[in-house]
Amino acid sequence: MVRDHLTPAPVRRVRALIHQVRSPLTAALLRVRAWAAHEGAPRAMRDLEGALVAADTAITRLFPLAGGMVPALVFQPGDLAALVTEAVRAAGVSASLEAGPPLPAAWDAFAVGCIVRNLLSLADARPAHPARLTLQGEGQAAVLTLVGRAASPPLGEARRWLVQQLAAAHGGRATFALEQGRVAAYVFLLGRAASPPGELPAGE
Amino acid sequence: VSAPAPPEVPPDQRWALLCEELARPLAAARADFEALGGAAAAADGPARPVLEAIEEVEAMMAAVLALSFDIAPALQRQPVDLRAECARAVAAYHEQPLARPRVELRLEGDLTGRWNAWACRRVLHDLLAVALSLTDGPLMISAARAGAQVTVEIEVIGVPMSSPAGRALLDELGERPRQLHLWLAARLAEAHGGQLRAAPDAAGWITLTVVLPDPDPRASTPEGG
Repeated sequence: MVRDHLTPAPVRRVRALIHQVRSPLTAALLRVRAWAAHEGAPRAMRDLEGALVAADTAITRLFPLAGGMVPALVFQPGDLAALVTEAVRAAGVSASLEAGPPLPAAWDAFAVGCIVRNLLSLADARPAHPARLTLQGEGQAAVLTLVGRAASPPLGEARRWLVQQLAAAHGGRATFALEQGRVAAYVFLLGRAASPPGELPAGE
Repeated sequence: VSAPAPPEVPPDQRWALLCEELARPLAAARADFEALGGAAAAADGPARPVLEAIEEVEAMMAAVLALSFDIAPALQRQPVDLRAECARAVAAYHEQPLARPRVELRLEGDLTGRWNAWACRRVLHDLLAVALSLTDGPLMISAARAGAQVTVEIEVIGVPMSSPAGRALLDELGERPRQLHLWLAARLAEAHGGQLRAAPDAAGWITLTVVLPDPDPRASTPEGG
């Protein structure tokens, strides 16, 4: 008989595992930061610092999902339209993006990049029939829409799951429709209020 | 703060996607390290620990994510010399400024085999941490091969199995351990087809034993010769 009170608390366990995974990266990052701060440090050193920060960010944000927790997002002031534009560029696929005016609020840039990358993987984005992304919004609310010819990427279900999880952590939701070889995805994102300049966000 | 996953997405697919997402920035970091070039990144250069850190995270990521999803990790095996790994674990402990008990090693015969190097290090580190949490006195680590398996024992000298600490340890191992060190060591031993157990030695003291089967003992060539 399994005694429930002796079952390891998954949340505590996963948090401890995240700490275990981050420890070597943290030590490496401190070392690289010390070098990068030196005058005349090569640009590659600063690139390495950025890559280590990105690796640490990915672990911090996504690892909680392995323990059934919500992604640990960090909301920072920014323009969602700029974040999506950069994510499409970084994805390196043929996709058109129609983004309206800037959408300034507090967003998690890593999550936005992850959403866009995984959304785009669901559509066949070859130059002959590029996927179409549209970003519309007002205030802190935004809808990111993907329409295109459906692709069958590996781990497609898991990619939809990840987009849903990240959208939910962003106070929104994601829905997908697949019909006659076409895919349509709607991702609703709710940013947080960006603090006025010079004012700390609530709680800090 | 729990967000149950939609039941239609199997854990192994979610695990695989998270592995992919987390491997991407690590690969970028590795590429940036290689772009450093020069003396800093050389085999004995000052930046080498950075690459070792990246490699360590790469080595553990898939296994630790799998364990977090409660699925058995498929560990890659490579030649490992447990003699060297035991010595490394003890040396690392003795280097700590607050190291108190004396940890002795008694290693017999050929202790090479095909296991996962990171997991072996982790098991030894975790078992040592558990043993150290039980005593301020000395510990004895012994390891020996018996046929197609190697057994590593950590004897907590002077702490009886019948003590409250010993009984608590047995309770933990009888169920699913709550202690991270014990849980991780047990799961990684199981992932090798082995097991972790606690029992009294001849003197009645607490002894943690990990058994690591070696599927092909003759194929093993220890790292570094």
